[in-house]
Amino acid sequence: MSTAMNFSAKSFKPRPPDKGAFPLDHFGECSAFKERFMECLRDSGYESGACRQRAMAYLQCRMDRQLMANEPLEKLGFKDLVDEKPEGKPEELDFSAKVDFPKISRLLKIHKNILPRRKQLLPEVFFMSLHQCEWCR
Amino acid sequence: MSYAAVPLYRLYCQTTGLGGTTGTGHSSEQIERMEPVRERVIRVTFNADVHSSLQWNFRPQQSEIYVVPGETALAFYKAKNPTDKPIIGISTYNVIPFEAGQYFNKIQCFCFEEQRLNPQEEVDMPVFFYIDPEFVEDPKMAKVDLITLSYTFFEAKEGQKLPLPGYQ
Repeated sequence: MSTAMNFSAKSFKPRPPDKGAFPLDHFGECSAFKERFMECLRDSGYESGACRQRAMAYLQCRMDRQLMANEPLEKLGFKDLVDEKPEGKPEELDFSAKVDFPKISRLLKIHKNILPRRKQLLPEVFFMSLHQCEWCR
Repeated sequence: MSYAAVPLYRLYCQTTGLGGTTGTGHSSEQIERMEPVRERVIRVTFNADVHSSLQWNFRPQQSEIYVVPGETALAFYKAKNPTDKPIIGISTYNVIPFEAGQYFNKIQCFCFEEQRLNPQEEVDMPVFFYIDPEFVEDPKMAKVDLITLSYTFFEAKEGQKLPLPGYQ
Protein backbone atom coordinates (compact mmCIF):
# COMPACT_ATOMS: atom_id res chain seq x y z
CA MET A 1 0.00 0.00 0.00
CA SER A 2 1.06 3.53 -0.39
CA THR A 3 1.48 3.89 3.35
CA ALA A 4 4.73 1.94 3.09
CA MET A 5 7.67 4.25 3.61
CA ASN A 6 10.73 3.87 1.50
CA PHE A 7 14.11 5.25 2.32
CA SER A 8 13.82 8.32 0.18
CA ALA A 9 10.84 9.29 2.35
CA LYS A 10 8.85 10.24 -0.69
CA SER A 11 5.41 8.78 -0.95
CA PHE A 12 3.02 8.52 -3.82
CA LYS A 13 0.33 11.16 -3.80
CA PRO A 14 -2.79 10.00 -5.57
CA ARG A 15 -4.67 12.61 -7.52
CA PRO A 16 -8.40 12.60 -8.12
CA PRO A 17 -9.44 11.96 -11.73
CA ASP A 18 -9.71 15.00 -14.00
CA LYS A 19 -13.40 14.62 -14.63
CA GLY A 20 -14.41 12.97 -11.40
CA ALA A 21 -15.88 9.54 -11.01
CA PHE A 22 -17.97 7.54 -13.45
CA PRO A 23 -21.48 6.89 -12.12
CA LEU A 24 -21.99 3.18 -11.70
CA ASP A 25 -23.76 1.42 -14.55
CA HIS A 26 -26.17 -0.31 -12.16
CA PHE A 27 -28.39 -1.66 -14.92
CA GLY A 28 -25.61 -2.77 -17.23
CA GLU A 29 -26.83 -0.49 -19.98
CA CYS A 30 -23.42 -0.34 -21.58
CA SER A 31 -22.31 -3.88 -20.77
CA ALA A 32 -22.64 -4.96 -24.39
CA PHE A 33 -20.28 -2.21 -25.47
CA LYS A 34 -17.88 -3.19 -22.73
CA GLU A 35 -17.99 -6.81 -23.84
CA ARG A 36 -17.21 -5.84 -27.42
CA PHE A 37 -14.30 -3.76 -26.21
CA MET A 38 -12.95 -6.55 -24.00
CA GLU A 39 -13.30 -9.02 -26.86
CA CYS A 40 -11.24 -6.71 -29.05
CA LEU A 41 -8.60 -6.43 -26.33
CA ARG A 42 -8.34 -10.20 -26.02
CA ASP A 43 -8.15 -10.65 -29.77
CA SER A 44 -5.49 -7.99 -30.22
CA GLY A 45 -3.21 -9.21 -27.46
CA TYR A 46 -4.32 -6.44 -25.14
CA GLU A 47 -3.18 -3.66 -27.40
CA SER A 48 -5.09 -0.56 -26.41
CA GLY A 49 -4.46 1.22 -29.71
CA ALA A 50 -6.25 -1.51 -31.66
CA CYS A 51 -9.47 -1.09 -29.74
CA ARG A 52 -9.94 2.64 -29.61
CA GLN A 53 -12.98 2.54 -31.88
CA ARG A 54 -14.78 0.28 -29.42
CA ALA A 55 -13.54 2.28 -26.44
CA MET A 56 -15.03 5.34 -28.07
CA ALA A 57 -18.30 3.46 -28.64
CA TYR A 58 -18.41 2.51 -24.96
CA LEU A 59 -17.92 6.06 -23.80
CA GLN A 60 -20.49 7.28 -26.30
CA CYS A 61 -22.91 4.74 -24.84
CA ARG A 62 -22.32 6.16 -21.40
CA MET A 63 -22.87 9.70 -22.61
CA ASP A 64 -26.09 8.71 -24.38
CA ARG A 65 -27.44 7.26 -21.14
CA GLN A 66 -26.38 10.02 -18.76
CA LEU A 67 -23.67 7.80 -17.31
CA MET A 68 -21.00 10.28 -18.27
CA ALA A 69 -20.92 14.02 -18.82
CA ASN A 70 -21.37 14.83 -22.47
CA GLU A 71 -18.11 15.81 -24.08
CA PRO A 72 -17.00 16.04 -27.71
CA LEU A 73 -15.07 12.88 -28.54
CA GLU A 74 -12.15 14.96 -29.77
CA LYS A 75 -11.60 16.18 -26.24
CA LEU A 76 -11.37 12.58 -25.06
CA GLY A 77 -8.47 11.84 -27.39
CA PHE A 78 -10.48 10.40 -30.28
CA LYS A 79 -9.96 13.25 -32.71
CA ASP A 80 -8.38 11.03 -35.37
CA LEU A 81 -11.25 8.55 -35.27
CA VAL A 82 -13.87 11.27 -35.47
CA ASP A 83 -12.13 12.99 -38.39
CA GLU A 84 -12.16 9.85 -40.53
CA LYS A 85 -14.97 9.88 -43.06
CA PRO A 86 -17.55 7.13 -42.54
CA GLU A 87 -17.51 6.14 -46.26
CA GLY A 88 -14.35 5.02 -47.90
CA LYS A 89 -12.98 3.54 -44.71
CA PRO A 90 -12.74 -0.25 -44.93
CA GLU A 91 -15.27 -1.61 -42.50
CA GLU A 92 -15.41 -4.90 -40.83
CA LEU A 93 -18.56 -6.84 -41.65
CA ASP A 94 -21.23 -5.73 -39.26
CA PHE A 95 -23.09 -8.88 -38.28
CA SER A 96 -25.56 -6.94 -36.24
CA ALA A 97 -27.07 -5.53 -39.44
CA LYS A 98 -30.48 -6.63 -40.68
CA VAL A 99 -29.18 -9.39 -42.92
CA ASP A 100 -27.40 -12.17 -41.10
CA PHE A 101 -24.64 -12.96 -43.58
CA PRO A 102 -23.03 -15.88 -41.78
CA LYS A 103 -26.35 -17.61 -41.32
CA ILE A 104 -27.32 -17.13 -44.95
CA SER A 105 -23.86 -18.20 -45.99
CA ARG A 106 -24.16 -21.39 -44.04
CA LEU A 107 -27.65 -22.05 -45.31
CA LEU A 108 -26.74 -21.52 -48.93
CA LYS A 109 -23.24 -22.96 -48.60
CA ILE A 110 -21.71 -19.90 -50.16
CA HIS A 111 -18.35 -18.71 -48.96
CA LYS A 112 -18.85 -15.48 -47.06
CA ASN A 113 -16.17 -13.61 -48.99
CA ILE A 114 -18.35 -13.68 -52.06
CA LEU A 115 -21.15 -11.83 -50.29
CA PRO A 116 -21.23 -8.10 -50.96
CA ARG A 117 -19.68 -5.86 -48.32
CA ARG A 118 -22.50 -3.45 -47.88
CA LYS A 119 -24.15 -2.28 -44.72
CA GLN A 120 -27.66 -2.78 -45.94
CA LEU A 121 -28.91 -5.27 -48.41
CA LEU A 122 -32.55 -5.79 -49.19
CA PRO A 123 -33.17 -9.50 -48.67
CA GLU A 124 -35.38 -9.80 -51.75
CA VAL A 125 -32.70 -8.22 -53.96
CA PHE A 126 -30.18 -10.62 -52.53
CA PHE A 127 -32.27 -13.68 -53.28
CA MET A 128 -33.17 -12.39 -56.71
CA SER A 129 -29.55 -11.96 -57.63
CA LEU A 130 -28.87 -15.40 -56.21
CA HIS A 131 -31.52 -16.81 -58.50
CA GLN A 132 -29.52 -15.57 -61.45
CA CYS A 133 -26.37 -17.20 -60.24
CA GLU A 134 -26.10 -20.45 -62.14
CA TRP A 135 -23.69 -22.26 -59.94
CA CYS A 136 -25.57 -21.32 -56.76
CA ARG A 137 -28.36 -23.73 -57.32
CA MET B 1 -7.60 14.85 7.31
CA SER B 2 -9.97 11.97 7.29
CA TYR B 3 -11.67 10.52 4.30
CA ALA B 4 -14.41 13.08 4.78
CA ALA B 5 -12.26 15.25 2.54
CA VAL B 6 -13.09 12.99 -0.36
CA PRO B 7 -16.64 14.26 -0.92
CA LEU B 8 -15.21 17.76 -0.90
CA TYR B 9 -12.76 16.74 -3.57
CA ARG B 10 -15.61 15.29 -5.57
CA LEU B 11 -17.54 18.55 -5.42
CA TYR B 12 -14.40 20.43 -6.32
CA CYS B 13 -13.74 18.13 -9.27
CA GLN B 14 -17.21 18.45 -10.64
CA THR B 15 -17.52 22.18 -10.31
CA THR B 16 -14.11 23.25 -11.48
CA GLY B 17 -13.20 20.24 -13.60
CA LEU B 18 -9.65 20.73 -12.43
CA GLY B 19 -9.45 17.77 -10.08
CA GLY B 20 -6.95 19.52 -7.89
CA THR B 21 -4.07 18.27 -9.98
CA THR B 22 -0.63 19.61 -9.36
CA GLY B 23 1.98 20.30 -11.97
CA THR B 24 0.86 20.65 -15.58
CA GLY B 25 -2.83 21.24 -16.13
CA HIS B 26 -4.56 18.28 -17.71
CA SER B 27 -7.17 20.13 -19.66
CA SER B 28 -9.37 18.83 -22.44
CA GLU B 29 -7.42 21.00 -24.86
CA GLN B 30 -4.23 19.23 -23.94
CA ILE B 31 -5.88 15.84 -24.50
CA GLU B 32 -7.22 16.98 -27.85
CA ARG B 33 -3.82 18.25 -28.99
CA MET B 34 -1.53 15.54 -27.70
CA GLU B 35 0.10 13.16 -30.14
CA PRO B 36 0.79 9.52 -29.39
CA VAL B 37 4.44 8.56 -29.03
CA ARG B 38 4.33 5.24 -30.84
CA GLU B 39 7.96 4.29 -30.17
CA ARG B 40 7.41 3.95 -26.44
CA VAL B 41 5.08 1.06 -25.75
CA ILE B 42 4.27 0.78 -22.07
CA ARG B 43 2.81 -2.28 -20.44
CA VAL B 44 0.26 -1.29 -17.82
CA THR B 45 -0.70 -4.02 -15.40
CA PHE B 46 -3.67 -3.90 -13.05
CA ASN B 47 -3.98 -4.84 -9.45
CA ALA B 48 -7.04 -4.89 -7.21
CA ASP B 49 -7.24 -5.06 -3.45
CA VAL B 50 -9.93 -4.77 -0.84
CA HIS B 51 -9.47 -3.82 2.73
CA SER B 52 -10.16 -6.74 5.02
CA SER B 53 -13.39 -5.20 6.34
CA LEU B 54 -14.89 -4.84 2.86
CA GLN B 55 -16.75 -7.88 1.69
CA TRP B 56 -16.62 -7.16 -2.00
CA ASN B 57 -15.15 -9.24 -4.77
CA PHE B 58 -13.06 -6.78 -6.70
CA ARG B 59 -10.81 -7.62 -9.61
CA PRO B 60 -9.42 -6.19 -12.85
CA GLN B 61 -11.02 -7.45 -16.06
CA GLN B 62 -7.69 -7.46 -17.87
CA SER B 63 -4.36 -8.28 -16.33
CA GLU B 64 -2.46 -5.95 -18.63
CA ILE B 65 -2.82 -3.54 -21.51
CA TYR B 66 -0.24 -2.08 -23.87
CA VAL B 67 -0.47 1.67 -24.33
CA VAL B 68 1.63 4.49 -25.70
CA PRO B 69 2.03 7.91 -24.11
CA GLY B 70 -0.28 10.51 -25.56
CA GLU B 71 -3.11 8.15 -26.39
CA THR B 72 -6.16 7.68 -24.20
CA ALA B 73 -6.90 4.17 -23.01
CA LEU B 74 -9.79 2.38 -21.36
CA ALA B 75 -9.64 -0.46 -18.88
CA PHE B 76 -12.14 -2.18 -16.63
CA TYR B 77 -12.44 -3.51 -13.14
CA LYS B 78 -15.37 -5.48 -11.83
CA ALA B 79 -16.86 -5.39 -8.38
CA LYS B 80 -19.47 -7.61 -6.81
CA ASN B 81 -21.25 -7.44 -3.49
CA PRO B 82 -21.89 -11.09 -2.62
CA THR B 83 -23.62 -10.30 0.68
CA ASP B 84 -27.28 -9.71 1.38
CA LYS B 85 -26.94 -6.11 2.47
CA PRO B 86 -25.92 -2.98 0.55
CA ILE B 87 -22.33 -1.94 1.04
CA ILE B 88 -20.72 1.37 0.22
CA GLY B 89 -17.11 1.33 -0.81
CA ILE B 90 -14.60 3.98 -1.62
CA SER B 91 -11.30 3.50 -3.31
CA THR B 92 -7.91 4.98 -3.77
CA TYR B 93 -5.16 4.01 -6.15
CA ASN B 94 -1.45 3.63 -6.37
CA VAL B 95 0.97 3.76 -9.29
CA ILE B 96 4.26 1.88 -9.37
CA PRO B 97 6.92 3.07 -9.98
CA PHE B 98 5.80 6.05 -7.97
CA GLU B 99 7.84 8.48 -10.08
CA ALA B 100 5.69 7.47 -13.05
CA GLY B 101 2.59 8.47 -11.11
CA GLN B 102 2.93 12.11 -12.08
CA TYR B 103 2.56 11.13 -15.75
CA PHE B 104 -0.35 8.79 -15.17
CA ASN B 105 -3.45 10.86 -15.74
CA LYS B 106 -6.86 9.51 -15.03
CA ILE B 107 -9.48 11.33 -17.03
CA GLN B 108 -12.26 9.50 -15.28
CA CYS B 109 -12.48 6.47 -13.06
CA PHE B 110 -14.29 5.29 -9.97
CA CYS B 111 -12.01 6.37 -7.18
CA PHE B 112 -12.37 8.87 -4.35
CA GLU B 113 -16.12 8.69 -4.55
CA GLU B 114 -18.47 6.49 -2.60
CA GLN B 115 -19.79 3.62 -4.64
CA ARG B 116 -22.81 1.74 -3.40
CA LEU B 117 -23.44 -1.84 -4.40
CA ASN B 118 -26.75 -3.47 -3.58
CA PRO B 119 -26.94 -7.07 -2.41
CA GLN B 120 -25.67 -9.48 -5.09
CA GLU B 121 -25.00 -6.59 -7.43
CA GLU B 122 -22.08 -6.73 -9.84
CA VAL B 123 -20.87 -3.74 -11.83
CA ASP B 124 -18.19 -2.82 -14.32
CA MET B 125 -15.87 -0.07 -13.18
CA PRO B 126 -14.04 1.71 -15.98
CA VAL B 127 -10.80 3.61 -15.82
CA PHE B 128 -10.15 6.07 -18.63
CA PHE B 129 -6.60 7.32 -18.60
CA TYR B 130 -3.53 8.32 -20.56
CA ILE B 131 0.18 8.59 -19.98
CA ASP B 132 1.38 12.14 -20.46
CA PRO B 133 3.63 12.48 -23.55
CA GLU B 134 6.12 14.34 -21.36
CA PHE B 135 6.87 10.95 -19.88
CA VAL B 136 9.23 10.24 -22.79
CA GLU B 137 11.22 13.39 -22.10
CA ASP B 138 12.01 12.49 -18.53
CA PRO B 139 15.43 10.78 -18.33
CA LYS B 140 14.38 9.04 -15.13
CA MET B 141 11.63 7.31 -17.10
CA ALA B 142 13.88 6.12 -19.90
CA LYS B 143 14.02 2.55 -18.64
CA VAL B 144 10.42 2.38 -17.47
CA ASP B 145 8.29 0.15 -19.66
CA LEU B 146 6.03 -1.30 -17.00
CA ILE B 147 3.57 0.66 -14.91
CA THR B 148 1.30 -0.99 -12.39
CA LEU B 149 -2.01 0.57 -11.46
CA SER B 150 -3.36 -0.67 -8.19
CA TYR B 151 -6.78 0.14 -6.75
CA THR B 152 -7.82 -0.57 -3.20
CA PHE B 153 -11.39 -0.45 -1.95
CA PHE B 154 -12.36 0.33 1.60
CA GLU B 155 -15.74 0.20 3.22
CA ALA B 156 -17.15 3.68 3.68
CA LYS B 157 -18.49 4.10 7.16
CA GLU B 158 -19.57 7.15 9.15
CA GLY B 159 -16.76 8.69 11.09
CA GLN B 160 -14.20 6.18 9.99
CA LYS B 161 -10.77 7.51 9.17
CA LEU B 162 -9.41 5.87 6.08
CA PRO B 163 -5.68 5.79 5.32
CA LEU B 164 -5.96 7.76 2.10
CA PRO B 165 -2.55 9.24 1.44
CA GLY B 166 -2.49 12.79 0.27
CA TYR B 167 -5.50 13.69 2.32
CA GLN B 168 -3.78 13.49 5.69
